[in-house]
Amino acid sequence: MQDYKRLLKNIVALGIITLLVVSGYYLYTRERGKTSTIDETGIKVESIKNIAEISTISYKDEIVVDTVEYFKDEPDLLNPLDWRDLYDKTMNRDVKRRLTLIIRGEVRYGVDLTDQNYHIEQNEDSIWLTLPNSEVLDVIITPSLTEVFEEQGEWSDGTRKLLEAKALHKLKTNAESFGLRERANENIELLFSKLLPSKKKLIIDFE
Amino acid sequence: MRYTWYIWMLLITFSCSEEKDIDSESVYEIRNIGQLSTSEYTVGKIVKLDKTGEEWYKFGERRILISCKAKIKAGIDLSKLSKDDIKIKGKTIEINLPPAEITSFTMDPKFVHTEMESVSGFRDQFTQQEKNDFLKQGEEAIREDIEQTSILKDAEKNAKTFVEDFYKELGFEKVIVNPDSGL
Repeated sequence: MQDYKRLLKNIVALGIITLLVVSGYYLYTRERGKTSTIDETGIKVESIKNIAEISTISYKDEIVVDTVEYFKDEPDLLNPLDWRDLYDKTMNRDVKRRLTLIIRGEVRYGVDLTDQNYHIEQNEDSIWLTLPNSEVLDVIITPSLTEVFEEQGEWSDGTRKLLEAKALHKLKTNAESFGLRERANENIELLFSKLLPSKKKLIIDFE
Repeated sequence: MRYTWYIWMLLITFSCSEEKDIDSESVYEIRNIGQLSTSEYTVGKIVKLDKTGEEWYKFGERRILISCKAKIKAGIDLSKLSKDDIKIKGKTIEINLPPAEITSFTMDPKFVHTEMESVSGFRDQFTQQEKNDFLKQGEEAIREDIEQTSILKDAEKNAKTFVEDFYKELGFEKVIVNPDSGL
């Protein structure tokens, strides 16, 4: 009976010691859930440009980009080095590493009149306004609109940049598929009609 | 009793192996806008994390420096103009402009670089999730700091010049532009 009690005491003591070691390890070495706050640094204005861009269409989309690496070999149960990967190999469908990003971006179309590249002619009853054709003026993407949805394993900045570039390309391609340049031109006409409250007829040509 | 135990074990096993679903459907929005951007600033920032002193109780240290750039445009929202804001009397036109505002803010990932990363002892490597969180904080700081620059004043001044030039091209002899500035 005393042997049982001693065994029980030893088991409890061992459990407590293990708990303390594991807690200490996590508390003093590993990073806990909360993200650290960055130090305060100023901004440096690198360039200032005077522009004249009129944006008339905004296209917002959410793009998912993903990269996955699978285990190449079957798990070797006799190799202790393979044991730590057993969970991923058996329960996580053989996925070794995975990085999934959700990027919310915006594409804006409009006309760039920065070089005063517009031309106006008029007679008694009409105004002819010649403008450059609508183009993509902005592709807006920021860290606050980027979500790291899943990160399994270690990933380099290079891979992340490749995914972001892929998302940007997809964002622009999706926007183009809606024929938004034509719609941007139509909106330009409406906007200039508002800016020219005249009885003359406004005719806009796009180069 | 034994069957209940098996069912519980099965439930626990499958709940652990569940994968997050990714919504692959495109969620898009097309909107008509009418913004005249007249000033563009490119700013650089170093996102710095150095908690060496504060995390003295941890074995090892983690430090990182990330450089990034933001392109910010400012101007006026022409869609806010109403009919009453434009008055014409013969060869004179008077126009009340809406206030200058930030029209676009972008941080191209092409210009984000990890300049220095130092992890020692038992500390974890920086994850992409953490780096994105640091960049989010950097973005917020840039948005706050940009208000202290003269971007809005420049945008208002340039918008005034653009409008004056445009109406003069149209043949108006006198163009009165009233910016709505609290600047």
